[in-house]
Amino acid sequence: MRRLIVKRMLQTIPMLIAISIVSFLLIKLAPGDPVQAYITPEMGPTDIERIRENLGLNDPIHIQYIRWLKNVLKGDLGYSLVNHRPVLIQIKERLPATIGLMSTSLIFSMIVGIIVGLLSAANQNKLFDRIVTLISYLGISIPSFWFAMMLIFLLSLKLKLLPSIGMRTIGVHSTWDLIKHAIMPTLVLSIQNIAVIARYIRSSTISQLKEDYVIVQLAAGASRNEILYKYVLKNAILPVITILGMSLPSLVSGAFITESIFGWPGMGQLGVTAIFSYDYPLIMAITMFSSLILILGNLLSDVLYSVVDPRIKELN
Amino acid sequence: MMNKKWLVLVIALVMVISAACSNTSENQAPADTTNEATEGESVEKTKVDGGIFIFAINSDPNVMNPLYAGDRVTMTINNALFAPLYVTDAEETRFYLAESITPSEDFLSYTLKLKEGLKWHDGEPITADDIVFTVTSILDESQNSHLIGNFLVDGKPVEVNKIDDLTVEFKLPQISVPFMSKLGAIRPIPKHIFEGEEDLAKSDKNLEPIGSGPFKFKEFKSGEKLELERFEDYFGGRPNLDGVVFRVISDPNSANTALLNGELSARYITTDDIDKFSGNENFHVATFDEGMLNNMVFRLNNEALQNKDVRKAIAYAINKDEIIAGVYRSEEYAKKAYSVFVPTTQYYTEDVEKYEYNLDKAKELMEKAGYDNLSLRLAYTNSSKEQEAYGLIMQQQLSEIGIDLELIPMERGAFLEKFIDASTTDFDLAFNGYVMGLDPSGYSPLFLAGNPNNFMGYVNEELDPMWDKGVIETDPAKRAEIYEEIQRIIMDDMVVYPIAYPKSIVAIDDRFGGIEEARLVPITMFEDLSKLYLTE
Repeated sequence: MRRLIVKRMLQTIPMLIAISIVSFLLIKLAPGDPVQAYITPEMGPTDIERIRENLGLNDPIHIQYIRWLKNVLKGDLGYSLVNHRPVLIQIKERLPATIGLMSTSLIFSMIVGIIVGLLSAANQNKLFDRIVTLISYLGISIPSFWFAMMLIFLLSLKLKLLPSIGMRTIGVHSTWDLIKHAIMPTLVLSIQNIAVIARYIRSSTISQLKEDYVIVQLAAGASRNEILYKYVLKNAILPVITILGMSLPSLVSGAFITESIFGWPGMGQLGVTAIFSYDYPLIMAITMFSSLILILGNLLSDVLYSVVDPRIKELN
Repeated sequence: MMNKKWLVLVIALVMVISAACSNTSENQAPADTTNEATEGESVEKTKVDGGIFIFAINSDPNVMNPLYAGDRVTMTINNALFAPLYVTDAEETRFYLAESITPSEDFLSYTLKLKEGLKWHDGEPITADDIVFTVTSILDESQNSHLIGNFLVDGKPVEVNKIDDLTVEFKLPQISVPFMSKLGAIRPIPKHIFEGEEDLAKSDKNLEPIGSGPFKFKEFKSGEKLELERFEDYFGGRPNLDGVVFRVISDPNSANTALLNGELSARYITTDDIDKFSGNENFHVATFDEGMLNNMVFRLNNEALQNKDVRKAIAYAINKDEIIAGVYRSEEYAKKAYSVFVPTTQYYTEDVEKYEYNLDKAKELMEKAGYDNLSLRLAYTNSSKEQEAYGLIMQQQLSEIGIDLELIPMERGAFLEKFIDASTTDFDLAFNGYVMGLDPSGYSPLFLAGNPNNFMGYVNEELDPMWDKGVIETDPAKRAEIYEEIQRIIMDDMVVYPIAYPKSIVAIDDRFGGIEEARLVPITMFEDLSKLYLTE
């Protein structure tokens, strides 16, 4: 087990380096120039040159990359080109909001997804199952920004139940206030995962129900519910661990959209702003953090899988 | 700050705040001081003490230090935190920290007197030392302040001397009439806080700024909000509101919803949103002149466009009335533009060739130039609905004189990169917008030969020396003559086609009063936030 983890950890290093090279190149090749933010009409070409030089933008791209990498390895992510604050501090400020939103959404979608999937399988082809199937199709195909706008329109504007924006009401410091602000972003971020998980659980439960051990149990007189929750669930839940790893990318990218729409002060919102101002030290840092979350998430799901299914461990 | 000359380098349609419109009257009073069009019934309401005014900002402030504020968000915030010395517009000068400013007879030195008993937010007195420190820091090249140009005259620094605790003298290397308004826009920073800081932009002191404005720093949460609270000792009188808050909302649709939902107190809106707010009794919709000119730039490296007659033909073939009606509904939200200056700039004149729509004349000029058909490429920022609409209308109009206009919408960054380099040949025409401020000398970088802000590649040797003459002319009548002539020459050369002066439209929560006293102004929305109050 330990060997597996160490091996996978080592594999992430070249992966992260490859990601950093590609993102660095992409940022540099994209049109736009951070110096634009500094230019005023009173500046002559020499002033503009001086600023470029001060920012180190005149060096060849590989030199810039190596300098960036060296600093990162020393733990220095640099300063934002726009607000001149250390990138690391800015990420640290934003990380809790994003992690909080993502983990709430993950837990919420697992619980709802599993319950709905299980019930749907238990009631296969009945009305409940059909409704769930329809809704989960919708859940997978609904664009999250549209869903977000609809929720805001309904719950904030029309029904006045929830605040439309931000994380806290100005001047209010209660947990209930925070929860109220988190409801809509969590729903938007979860809807797709709920649908995916419910569909997986449904189909794996249905196939489990056809297994011999279920028939034997039924023949032995065990109740259907007992079989379902005691034996089937344990087997059916296995694929969810894989989905967990797979759903992380959509969570990370979903966070960018969701946070922007709801004014949620997380990394996604920071990233969108950074991209629009060509603030490349910040863009790089956010890309690396997001990649790290993804890689670690996948690693975690692999490890969990081998814990619950020892056959995997043997394969390694 | 509004008369500050730096160009909100907005190139291009940056301002999706496609502001609104304008009165058709001759009254060109500085629109930034008047609230020209307001809607909504005003019922008698009682003023109450307290309340919080909530602004939306689309990103965190950059550096809460007026030496580095170059963007709308940070300038709006600094306007609450830091008071200017004085504000000059075409009508008058309003004094804030300064008691008076007096030029010497030869206009080579200026004496600035501060008001007595001024205090920083931490209670320390504001003195001449702070002014000298601020100006010295701006002039220090290693500090990279955006404002350095305000204190350079012809490349040479202005000398600053303390006379006594409340008096500072500025000595100019040569006459520069615009200096007085540039000086006024300065918002001093406290010496006792920043003295000895190596890099002012990166200083931690900017995170909890000590200023002199009506509201002082309370709390900042990145990506979420900046809270300011009332500064009891504000020299302009105790502010009415308990505080102002700036909430970060980057998505414009979400911001509109938040405003409708009462989670914001005011916001710039677009012409598309007007009906939503003006029909709502909870809002007060006001328009004011943003001091911006939307225009079309001719690239003079195109062979056909080097011919003045072709440029003039294009100008005559464009029907501004159709553009205003198609893009802004009516002149209520954007005034037709005839000069390269805006009406709020000193010495603005409409006594220029106006190029009123005249198809026959346009055809004649095309014939004279020897072109019966011509293909041109017009570039603009793809995210601007405003520019896209301009383009489609002009494409139609110019086809009447045999010009085949190809529209090239580009991503904003890609567009700017090409646009600011007048030698690129990816397109022949481009849409741009600029805000150059009160003083007409601020426009010179746009037209001087070889200047990086001259996006046309325009060279007129007769025109260039006139800008210098304008800067040193101290007689207002003669100055007016020079700048009027400049406008006539540029319009005759037709290197920039002025399209419209769009107006800013703001929707404000109707519970707030004192909007007239607070003055709606470009960029920062209000000039003096201490005057806003809540009603019941």
